[in-house]
This record gives sequence, structure tokens and C-alpha cells, in this order.
Amino acid sequence: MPDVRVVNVTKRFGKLVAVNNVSLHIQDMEYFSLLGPSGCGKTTLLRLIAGLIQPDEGDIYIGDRRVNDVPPEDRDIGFVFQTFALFPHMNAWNNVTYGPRVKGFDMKKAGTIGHEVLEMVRLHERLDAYPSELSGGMMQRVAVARALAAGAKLLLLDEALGQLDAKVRNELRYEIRRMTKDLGLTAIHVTHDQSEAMVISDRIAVMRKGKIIQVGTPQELYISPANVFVAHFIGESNFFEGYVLSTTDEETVIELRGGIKVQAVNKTSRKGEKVLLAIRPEAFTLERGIKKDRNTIRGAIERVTFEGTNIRYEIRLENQDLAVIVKPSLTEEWFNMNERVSISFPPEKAHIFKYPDAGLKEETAVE
Amino acid sequence: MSELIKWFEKRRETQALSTIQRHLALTMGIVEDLEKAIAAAIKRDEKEMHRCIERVASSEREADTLRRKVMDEISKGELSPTDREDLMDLVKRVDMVADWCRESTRILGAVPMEDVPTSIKDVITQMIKSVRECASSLQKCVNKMMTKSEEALQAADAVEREEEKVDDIHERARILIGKENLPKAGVAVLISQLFEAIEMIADSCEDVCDQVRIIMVRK
Repeated sequence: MPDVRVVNVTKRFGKLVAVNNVSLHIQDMEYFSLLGPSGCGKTTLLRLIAGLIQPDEGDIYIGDRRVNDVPPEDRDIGFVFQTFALFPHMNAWNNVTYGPRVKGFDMKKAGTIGHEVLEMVRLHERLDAYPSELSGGMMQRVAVARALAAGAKLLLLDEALGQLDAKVRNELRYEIRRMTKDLGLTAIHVTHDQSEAMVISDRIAVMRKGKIIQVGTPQELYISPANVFVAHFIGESNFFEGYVLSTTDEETVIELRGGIKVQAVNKTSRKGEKVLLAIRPEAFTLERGIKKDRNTIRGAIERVTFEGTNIRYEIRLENQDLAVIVKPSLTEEWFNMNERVSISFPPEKAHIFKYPDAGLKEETAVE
Repeated sequence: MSELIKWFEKRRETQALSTIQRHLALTMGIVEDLEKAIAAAIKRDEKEMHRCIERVASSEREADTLRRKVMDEISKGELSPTDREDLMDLVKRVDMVADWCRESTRILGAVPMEDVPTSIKDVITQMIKSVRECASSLQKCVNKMMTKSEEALQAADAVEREEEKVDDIHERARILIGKENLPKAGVAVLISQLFEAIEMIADSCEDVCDQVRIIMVRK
């Protein structure tokens, strides 16, 4: 199965630079996601890889072959659309065997392929059903089967689960990943849903404004976000503004608003620099009463939301900043509205970022 | 309860609201940075003073951007024209706090601190401390307006008390400028302007609180 290399690719639509000098290497048999907010260029990049549009600059390789001038039908790709794009007048069987038939395979060979792929997607018993008789999840599986039957070695999925309801979408995430892994396919999945990307991918490229912001495994992106945007977009982060009071190789002391001093593990901040401290909601310890330990901030609970698995607390801190803390609902004791609490965090769980020139709101905007 | 307060309670997650809170937090940070700039200037730590002034300047620019953003967001929403106007007024008044902080840093950068007597430096320190308290109560006031109106009104009272303190300090400062033997008339003018600008920060905080009251009592 092929690897995919995108080398310095740029695509413009008039004055808009949809994909801006992007380079990527997607490994053979890797499940790779392009993740970003609407309009970030992820679908354009997928279409460039598929050959549906041509790059203005740069090269695209599938395996060892430069495919810039190769038409989509000769790239050995399967494209799965958000809207499934099944032929409504054909049943599942005819939809799936359409590819082999137009490729000129005889009925016997096309039939063998059709049976194989429908078995893989566990729809063998519904081969007579028309798209209108299938559920969203089943239609999506037919769409995947059709891509596989056409001989795809590279599966491209454009918001492929976007039209499904939440429960089916969650199930299909695992199923699509399992299928591609069982078949040893390389898959590139475009989504704006970060939880989908986290569950389904080996690696994720986070895109924004036509550029790749960070590439990494889901864990790397979550635990070590490269910048404020990734910290905000992948999962959830509390951002506290402050400036660097002192810094050593091991630790940086930051003064937050209201004169609150906290410590974080040093990155490359300079004394006096305005910074943002990013801390995940689950990284905090929440305790009743007033504590004076290191990295402890006092506050009062302003809002409690039961989310099922978790309880979400919004805490108005003594410096009027708002902290969001998430705790497991079954294993943790509950806190009440207006209760006075102390929150604390270990220095290594706080990420220090240079304060963005454009401001926090602009830097974390997803539109 | 005013329609706008009901809207706040229902729409806690709206973009406009989170932008207003961000704008306010940023303004509070600007006041704190001004206090630090003044402390550094008094210690004659020019490097630190310029760092703080630069932070004030960049945060004030960000606050301006946010103000425009809030205006856009409010105009897209479902509020009545009166409520929109109230909210826009609130944001504009908060922005004046940031603007006067920026103005104070402009004057501060021009004051030759070596020519300023200790007695006047002490009064500047007291005054900015009170202004910071005033801004802190203001932030509480606006944040509570969205959740607990009683506490918001208490915070508004605290803002007024601090503002009165700032007025008193300013009065003392004027007397002091007259009494002290300042070497150059220019220094006296700059110091006087600095006191005026700092007082305007507190006055602007009070203006915001007045607007909070208007919002809260409007039927």
C-alpha cells in the first residue's frame, strides 16, 4: 500500500490561499487525519491528493509516483464523501460492483470482489437493499465498500461521518479504523471534529488558514500542544495571562493577574515577557477551603454542570479569571455552587506560550 | 429583572458575552501593568518600566480590537435596540478605562522621575493602588452582573468608594504639587497631567458601574 508525500504544495482560489506551502509525509498503512476548523484548507488538500483539483505549486507523490498530472481515476484511490454519493437507483450490490464493472472486469470477477468487500463491511445480507432502505451507517459502509471494490489502495474520507447521528458516528469511527487496518490501507480522513480525529487516527495534522500548525499522534497533540491554537482546538484549555518574573533551566515563575505567583516548567520564556499559561481542565486538583500550597489559587464555584461521565466546574478565581475544571462524576466527591475552594496544578502540567501578537481571542478563533 | 440580565442568564455561552468578559479581563490586566510601570519608574528601573508600558500598549490595542468585535457580535444578536445600546455603552465605557491607562503610560514615559520628590512619588503609588482596587471591584461587578445581581451592586458600591478615595488622593496631590519646590515647570505640568489621567481611570470605572446599574434596573 502506498505512502503519500505532499511537497511544498500551494493552492490559490483567486486571492485566497487555500493551501499554503504545505508539506506532509503520510506513511504506508497509516490512518492520518487532517483536522481544523471550517475553511482551514483541509478539504482542498484532500482534493489535491485525490487529483480533483491541481496544485499551483509543489508536488504530490503516491508511492514513488509523482501524480500531479495523473487523473483521479488512475491514482488508485477511493474517495468517501460526507453525503455518501451512492447511486440511488442501484442497490448495494450494484453500487459496490459498479467500479469493477466499468474497469472492464468480467461479471464473475466483479462478483467475487463485490462479495468480498460486502462481507468486510458486514453488509452481505443487505445486498439487494437500495440506499433509501439503508440507515446512515449502512450507507456509509456501502460507500467504503464501493471505494474498496474499485481497487483503492488509498482511502480518502471527506467528513465521512459528518452526516451520521452521534451514536452511529461513534461506532463507525472504530469500524472504519478496524477495516482500514485489517486491509492494510493508507487512509486520509478530513474532519473538523477533534474527538473523531483523536479516536480514529494514528497521526493528525492540525490545519489553520491553509497551513499545517502541528503534526503528531493524538497523545502528542494533547499533551504537548505546539501553540495556543492547538492547545485550544484539541481538547480544552484554561488560559491564564501573566508575565515571567524569573526563569531558570528548570522552572519559570509567572505572575498572573492579581499578583498570583505560580510555577511552570520552563520552555523558552524571557524575564518580563507576557505569556499565557495553558492548563487542561483535568490537570487541576480541587479542594474545599483555603489552601496555601504551591501553585494554589483560591476561588468560588460559580457553576456546576453534570455531563454524565464528568462534572464540569466553573470557578471564579480570586483574580476574577475563570477556571474550568472537569472531574469524573462517579469517582470524585461533588462540590456545590458558591462553595469556596482552592485549585492547584503541578508545574509540569502547565504549558507556557508567548502571548499571541494578535491577542488571545483572535489566536483561538475557529472561524 | 431587566431583559438584558435575563438574556445574560440564558446566553452565558454566547460569543458576545465571552468577548465582553475577555475585554474586561484584558482591561484589568492593563491597570495592573500600569501599576507595575509606575512602580518601576519610581525605582528608576527604566527597562522594566518600558516593558510594562509596552504590555499596556499591546493589550490596549487588543482591547480595541475586542471592542469592535463585541459591537459586531451584539449587532448580529437577537437583542432589542435598547438592550444593544446598553451593552454597547457598557463596552465603550470599559474601553475608556483601558484608554486612560494607555494615556497614563504615555505621560509616565515623559516624566523625568529624578526630578520628582519622594512625597509626590508616594502619592502616585497610593493613587494607582486605589485605582487598581477600583478596577478589581469593577471586574467583580460586571462578572457578577451576569450571575448574581445583589453581589454586582455591592461591587458597584465598592467601586464608588474606591473612586472617592482616588478623588481625595488627587486633591492632596494638587496641594503637594503647589507646595513642593519642583525644579522645572514642565515637570509640574507632566505630574499634574499624570494625576489627572490616573483619576480618569477611576472615573471611567465609576462610569461603567453606572451603566451596570442602568442595565440592572431597566424593565
